[in-house]
Amino acid sequence: MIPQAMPAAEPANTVLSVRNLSIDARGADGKPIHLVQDVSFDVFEHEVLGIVGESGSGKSLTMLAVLGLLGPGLKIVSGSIVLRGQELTSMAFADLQKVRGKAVSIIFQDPLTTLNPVLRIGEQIAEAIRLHNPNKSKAEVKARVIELLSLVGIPNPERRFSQFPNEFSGGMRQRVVIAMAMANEPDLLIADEPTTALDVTIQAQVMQVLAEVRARTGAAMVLITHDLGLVSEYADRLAVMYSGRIVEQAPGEELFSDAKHPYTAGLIASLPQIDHKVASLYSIPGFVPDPRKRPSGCPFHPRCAIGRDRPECSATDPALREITPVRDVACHFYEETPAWLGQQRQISAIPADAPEATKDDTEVVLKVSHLEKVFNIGGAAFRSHKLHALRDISFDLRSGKTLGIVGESGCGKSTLARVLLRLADASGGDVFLNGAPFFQLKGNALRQRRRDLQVVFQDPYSSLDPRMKIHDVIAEPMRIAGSYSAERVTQLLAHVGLPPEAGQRRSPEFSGGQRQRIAIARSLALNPDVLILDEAVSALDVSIQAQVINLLMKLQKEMGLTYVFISHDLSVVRHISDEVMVMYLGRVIEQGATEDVFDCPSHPYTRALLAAIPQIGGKSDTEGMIAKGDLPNPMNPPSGCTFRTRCPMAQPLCAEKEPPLVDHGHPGHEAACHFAQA
Amino acid sequence: MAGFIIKRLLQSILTIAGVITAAFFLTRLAGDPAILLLPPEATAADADRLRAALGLDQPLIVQYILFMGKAATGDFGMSLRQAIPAMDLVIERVPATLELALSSFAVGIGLAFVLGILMRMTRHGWVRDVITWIALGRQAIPIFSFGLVLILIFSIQLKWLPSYGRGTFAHLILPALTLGTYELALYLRLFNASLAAEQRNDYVRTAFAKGQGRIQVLLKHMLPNALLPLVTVAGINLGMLLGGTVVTETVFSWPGVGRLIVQSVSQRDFPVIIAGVFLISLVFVVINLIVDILYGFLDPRVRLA
Repeated sequence: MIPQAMPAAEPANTVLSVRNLSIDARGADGKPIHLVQDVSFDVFEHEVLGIVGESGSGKSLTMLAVLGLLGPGLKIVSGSIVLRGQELTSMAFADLQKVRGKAVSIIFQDPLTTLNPVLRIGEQIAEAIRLHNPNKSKAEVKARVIELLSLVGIPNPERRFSQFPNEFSGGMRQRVVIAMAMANEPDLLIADEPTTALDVTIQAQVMQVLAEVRARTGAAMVLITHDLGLVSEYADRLAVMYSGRIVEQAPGEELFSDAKHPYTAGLIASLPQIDHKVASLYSIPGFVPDPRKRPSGCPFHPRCAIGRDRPECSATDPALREITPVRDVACHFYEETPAWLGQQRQISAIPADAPEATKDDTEVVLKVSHLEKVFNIGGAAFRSHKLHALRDISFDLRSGKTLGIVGESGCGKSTLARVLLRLADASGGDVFLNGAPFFQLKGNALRQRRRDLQVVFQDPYSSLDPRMKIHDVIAEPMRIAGSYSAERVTQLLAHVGLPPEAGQRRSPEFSGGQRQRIAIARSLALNPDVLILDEAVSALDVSIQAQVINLLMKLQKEMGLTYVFISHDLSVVRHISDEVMVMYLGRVIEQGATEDVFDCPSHPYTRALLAAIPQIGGKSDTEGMIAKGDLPNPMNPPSGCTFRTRCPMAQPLCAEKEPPLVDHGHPGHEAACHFAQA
Repeated sequence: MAGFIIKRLLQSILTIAGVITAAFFLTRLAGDPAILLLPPEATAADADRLRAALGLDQPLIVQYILFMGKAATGDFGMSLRQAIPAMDLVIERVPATLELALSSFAVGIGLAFVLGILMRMTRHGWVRDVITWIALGRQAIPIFSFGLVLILIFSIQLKWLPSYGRGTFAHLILPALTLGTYELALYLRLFNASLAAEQRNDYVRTAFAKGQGRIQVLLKHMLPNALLPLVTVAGINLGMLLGGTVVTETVFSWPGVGRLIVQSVSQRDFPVIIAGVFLISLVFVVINLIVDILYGFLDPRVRLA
């Protein structure tokens, strides 16, 4: 599909044509670092091209180059970028200004930083219009802004026009960004991880808005993401990037049903699934290579299940070649990939005759009853607002089990972690650790017992002191407890799959996945009974996430650990948890065994969450299932059922009476809904 | 907003009371003023009589309560040296201090602003380097030596400007330049760092992606955000300028509040010291309040409550 030579003329329906694009950075030693190498692709009218890859694959750089927005120190060293017949790489700044925002526009990941905090929303959109329509009157521009705001589904656009970004929720901000990008009806829209910073129900709303505005203007789109489910649902064609180059290109359905590159196949095999449980995840070994130390031959070969030991793969770098008119792949042995993937699926499947999950015969390690947390917001002297962050949380967690806690941002799941760890004081309720009261402990007794309960945080970059040697990071808890031994540190490093030499280095020398292993080793230093994993795998790339999940499950089996696994990612929670708790505005709205909750969700919110997750292979049917609107203000929650304002099934009763959390004909599976489905 | 200001005013009263309390006890540690006030041949009985007249014979805590009671009404007592109310002595010096502080502040902030934008806009690396080196070099020279060098060149050699005293605009130039250029390096560095930090934000890339030009992106998008940290530091600094330009005032014999306080310390003229400290703390508190209110206007994310 990609001609190897420079094409003489583009087909009329080509919007963007990138040929042999290479981008270098200036290295510290003056040697260039090749960040993007020989990338070629086309984008046609009306289509969505998905570019997937892990961090460092060069996917965002490639598209920033299209806009001429490469940062300082980065430059295009060869290749061409043709947008609607115009060559962009050699264009002067003044000419590029006429293209940017007119023919091509971009949506970045985080709407909080994409919008200027000190400028009014209306002005930020109006600016985009005025720049390319200098003759429009003030009134015309304002009318167009209001039209755009209503187009992206922002209620009260006249009032919203003069508000600042901080007065908008995350989802509403991203709608504003979309309005800004669509202001001049561009031919090409670049969406760089447009929903990664948003909750899953909001992601569904934003993707729907994007599809609607594109349908109206016919803009082509490049969707850059690490989320395979998202591209599978929304992209027509896909390009997979690895270490600065495209390794596979194919139509969406084909790529997922019949992956040809071992990297693509590996990514698919390492994703936990929402609709069924697998025994174990495949994990691609190693990590994405540093572009300064790319392996010889095929850059993927050291991590490749098929080519790892083949001399050809370490000797020659395979070119991206056409294998069918619509597919390209850069692999010497791509014919073997489908068989390998089939094999993996068999290995990971749970055998039909597998014994039922073990009975709940172990003892309760962590018992939480009627836990409450109220924050007083605002000055104490004058009026203060009460925020009910946790309401009546109760659960029993048995030894060796995992409790998954899911919910969107603001639901109270991280507050729960802090209260359990006694980093924040509870306002009511009790917690028993190994049968003994934990919340009444003070001073030395608290310090002793606290060791049984440890935590791993989300961000392995800020949770490790960059100036401490890893050995000291892991030894610190033991030194405090007076149980330090160097062998124990080495042993812990081995448990998490790191060599003993790692102890002598400092955290900046490690990748994200390795750092999270170190954080896990530190949390295990005092032999805790319970680990609280607060979004512990959320910041990691897909292939690394599978490695860490497998490690956590291995450690649990070996050491009999009990996990409280907090995550916004329902697929991961399904994979790792025995029991699940779904939270909404500080309250548990559904809880039960993982299989029960995921296979027969009772609460409409749980169903909306599940429906909103983009699925690999086939568009999910989300009609009527998307939760409407935004999370209500937690300071002023709705009367009755707090979810009723977003619920597709809300009735008058829901506003009057808060439904209790009770089982609906299935003991052990509880839901707080008047109309729960049994 | 009104609630915020009332709350802050109450806090401010406590702050000022704390400051003059500390000033009261610290000045008492400095020694006995009676000895200094009396001629060398005075007897111990003379000293006792003077102490009784000044109220210094009472227990310290009684002195403190009496002092605070009067201070609450704005009465800081008479100067021990001159038969003038202490506060009047201080107030007399305020215009001079204000003149020097505001003009050097304007020099520092104004230059930082222009040079900071020039450094962002220029395509020539050497311009950036030269500005950075000049600013750093200026900051490396202490105020008194830089002031003396200026006097040497412009007053003694060229005879263009007066070297001491206050009166005309010409008197103001050298002290304001001495102090203002010292401030410049700090502001410039901060302004440059905050512009550089803003440049990394996605809203800058987004503005370019809309088709906006370099100057507009800098002035319209980055500048209002980059000013926020500058306002905080400039506010604190203005407070310091208004109270403590002692060195500059000394070098140029500038009749300001700072010099008055230093003189009063060496003369153990307690009421004047405390009145001066009171005024300076009042200025600090008011400026900080203004900075916070200004923040509320500059940054819509800040809610004043």
